[in-house]
Amino acid sequence: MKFSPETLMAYADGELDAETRRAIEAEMAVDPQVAKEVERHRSMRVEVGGAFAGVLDEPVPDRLLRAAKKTAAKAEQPRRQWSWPEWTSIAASLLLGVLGGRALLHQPDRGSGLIVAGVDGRVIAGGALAQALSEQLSSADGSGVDIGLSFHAKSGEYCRTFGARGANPVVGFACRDAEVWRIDMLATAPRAESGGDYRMASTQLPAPIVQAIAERMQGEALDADEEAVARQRRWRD
Amino acid sequence: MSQVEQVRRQIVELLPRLRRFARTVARNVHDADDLVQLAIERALLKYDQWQPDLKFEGWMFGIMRNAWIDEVRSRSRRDRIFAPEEAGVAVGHDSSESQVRLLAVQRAVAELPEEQRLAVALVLVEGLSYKEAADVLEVPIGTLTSRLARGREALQATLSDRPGERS
Repeated sequence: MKFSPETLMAYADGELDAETRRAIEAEMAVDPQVAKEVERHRSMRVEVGGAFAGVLDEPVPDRLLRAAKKTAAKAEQPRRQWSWPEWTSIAASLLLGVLGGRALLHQPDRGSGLIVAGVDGRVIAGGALAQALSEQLSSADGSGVDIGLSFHAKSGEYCRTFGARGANPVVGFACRDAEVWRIDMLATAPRAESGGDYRMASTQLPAPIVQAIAERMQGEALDADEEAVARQRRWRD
Repeated sequence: MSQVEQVRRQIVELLPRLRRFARTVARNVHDADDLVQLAIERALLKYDQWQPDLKFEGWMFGIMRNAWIDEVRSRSRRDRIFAPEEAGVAVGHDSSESQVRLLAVQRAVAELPEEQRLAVALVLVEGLSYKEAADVLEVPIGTLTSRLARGREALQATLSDRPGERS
């Protein structure tokens, strides 16, 4: 055979210049072996291409379309996102009165996954917030979430106040509900006066939250030792 | 239209092909779509590196190939037994001879060593020229040609041994 196997393959793939093509075609005319080899490459190309053609007809998953439309800086793993109606229906009763009903709903950072809702309509903590509520002591400096104080509610469960920093900081308190943290109140955090870092402090909780805590709290807030014990017991009695 | 919007529009248009290329690279639907998503995110982060005189699919395939190598491959489900239902393309319930053959071809491609598989995917499935495919893989054209030739030989050998082979 005058031409290398790779040259015949390149011919079948349409990669060769006109002069070489003509030379191969002349060879094919006199050598059926060459013609057969070229045909083998061609039919494989058709067959392999055809084996994956079906993908082009499949519907494209929404998440890929969303990824293409998202702002690059925010590109990240897809997360459950809340639409306005969902937020308002699930959270309205909790939020009512906290800020006089004013414009809170856009404040929780929807991309951060800190706040999610259970299927039964509870609003529960997720991601870094859930972790901080379970693990972080009040005295500790959290990276994105601060824990203010922990207390025993009159209804029996442990509750903790929190502040989540970020572009739209929120504060609130959550109570242990089986294996999750149910968020009972949530409000926008008062902004720091002079551009300093937002830092959780009980004095920065909006008055309605402070009132609610006062009503719910059984006895005093936990001290550091009691908190450590409660954490060890995974906030169960 | 701004450059980033141009890139977005072309990504959307190219999505079916990005998914197809990813399917040959990652070998199952879930990893493949993860790979496409990651490539899209990376492309949008560096959209300004795309020049209108570059072929867009080549640019995207290159991003996808790099994303595969340094992120998705290590966490992929590659060591799972390659079940027919995880083959690259949904085949429905048609068990006709041509469908059996089609599955056999998908499997044979999936079983190729990665270097050969990517060469086969770019040239035989995506229809890129040798030069374009070599650029995507960042190898000289001679390297691409030899990977492609070896890939074809391996496919030929595998498919000759399998049911559904045309005589």
